[in-house]
Amino acid sequence: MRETTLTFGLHDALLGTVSFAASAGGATAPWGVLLFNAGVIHRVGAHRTNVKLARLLAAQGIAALRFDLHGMGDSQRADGSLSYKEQVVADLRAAMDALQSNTGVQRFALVGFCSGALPSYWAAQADPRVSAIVLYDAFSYRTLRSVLRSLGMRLRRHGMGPRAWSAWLRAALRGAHAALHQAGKTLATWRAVASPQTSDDGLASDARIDRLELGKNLLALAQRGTGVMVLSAGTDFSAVNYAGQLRQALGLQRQHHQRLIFAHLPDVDHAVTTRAAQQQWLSCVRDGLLRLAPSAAQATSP
Amino acid sequence: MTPVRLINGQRELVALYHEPAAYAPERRHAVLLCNPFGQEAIRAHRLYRVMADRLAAAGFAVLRFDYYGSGDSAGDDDAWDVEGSIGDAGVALDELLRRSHAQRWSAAGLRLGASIALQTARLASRPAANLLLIDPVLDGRAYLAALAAANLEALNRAYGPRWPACARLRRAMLPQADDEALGFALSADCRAQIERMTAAWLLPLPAQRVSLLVPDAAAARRQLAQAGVEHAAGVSVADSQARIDWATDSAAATAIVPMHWINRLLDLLGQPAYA
Repeated sequence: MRETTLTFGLHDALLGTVSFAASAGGATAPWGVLLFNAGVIHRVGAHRTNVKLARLLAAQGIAALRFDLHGMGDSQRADGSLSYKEQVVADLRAAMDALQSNTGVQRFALVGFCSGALPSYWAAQADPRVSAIVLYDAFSYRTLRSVLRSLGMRLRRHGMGPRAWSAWLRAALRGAHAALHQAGKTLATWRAVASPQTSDDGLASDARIDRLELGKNLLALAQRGTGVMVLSAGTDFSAVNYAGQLRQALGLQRQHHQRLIFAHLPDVDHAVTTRAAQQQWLSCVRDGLLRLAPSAAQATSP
Repeated sequence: MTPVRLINGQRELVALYHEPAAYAPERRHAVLLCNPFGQEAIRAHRLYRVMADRLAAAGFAVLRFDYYGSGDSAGDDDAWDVEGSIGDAGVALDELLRRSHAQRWSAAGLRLGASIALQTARLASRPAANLLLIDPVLDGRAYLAALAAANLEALNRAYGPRWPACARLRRAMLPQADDEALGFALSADCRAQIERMTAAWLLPLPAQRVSLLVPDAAAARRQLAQAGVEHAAGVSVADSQARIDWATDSAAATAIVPMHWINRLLDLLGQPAYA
């Protein structure tokens, strides 16, 4: 497996590492994968998962570029002339250009880990070269069932003794405070929105997405031919805690499309901390990418 | 900043070379930055990036790099160990001196990166001018115990009530607690290498000056005294004035850059005897 680290984009301001597809004895895929920052973690990814995924894909004949967005990791600061949304889409486009010029691939899959999910979604809407996106653990829309399952887990842990009642009371007060806070925000904005789980308050204006609108847009991407994988982690059961929760929350329980996949990793935590969690995450994302791979004709069409 | 690929035998490493700024005074002084281990290296990435930028802007040539089995470099996580990393750092130092044509060199390292910088200086053909050891590991066993505790704390925090309540989850996600720390492999050989680390590692001093920046100066001085290092000429201990938990993934959205550490390094390197 061969890798090279390079700078690219306007003024060579972006930095990343290309993993070239292993071609010995097999064909290389005509599409490649972009991996980038999760929160402020540089291009290697949380617990080095971007490096591991890139090498896993390269061994299967798929090239990948892991890189730092402007202002992150080893890339340069942006000049501030673009909004955050415009800048990350421009960066992803520059990364597609770089991977294309280095490997010849013409279609791309984007893996958005947590805060990387929205940029992937935006880029898919903006650039027809995006053939698939993976949106990992970026949305935490609750359902009645998920709330009950979360409460059940806490009940199982804390029981019903005096200490448990104390914990329940504190949780109830926190919940009431949060509900009041949310009600105030809702009144202030005068429209019901749900906030994706992003790590930067500064993104709020770009990141506020109505869940049903998001569901419709993801389905529209799939119908257009762009594969979408919505992947969630079980973590502590407080956000997503059963397969099908996000499909339900996004209003897609009756909408099935072969290029729209929902997957849930119940035993994996958000940051894929343990090595066993990393293995599960890597296998799931690799399998999802292979399932959503464009056909040879799609991958080489202009 | 120039990406560089280094070869240490079968080990391919990724490095970034920061050339001295053209507008800065000519110093002919190169600085090697040595990463800490695992999650600590992820957390410290921004600190190292800013440190390198500031040093380069002040006229120093800087190289930072990933050891084999870490970061962007080749190798699986379980291939990482301290002794291999010391060899990698030696190759990185040679490349830094080759590129920069510097007459003097210094190094800085955080946590295990401090230990690696120290041993690299000891093995180098040219003596180091200055070593800045930030929160160095002065007791390897205590460091491993702290890593193990941090690992369990991270899992308890991530999984909340599920972690203590679900034995199946614990067995599935952490089958061998000793073999990893915050998602990064720790082989038996690697643990043994770390266990051997004590404050006595500082002797004989491999640099004209060794500066320790520690979160608890009194405790560090006690450890140095026990190892007979406290009064060694050229050793100084200062309070880091910051208690930073590097071994955590709880603040993934937080970049930590204590600028006073960088300023201290600039001050040390800029002192007349070493400039």
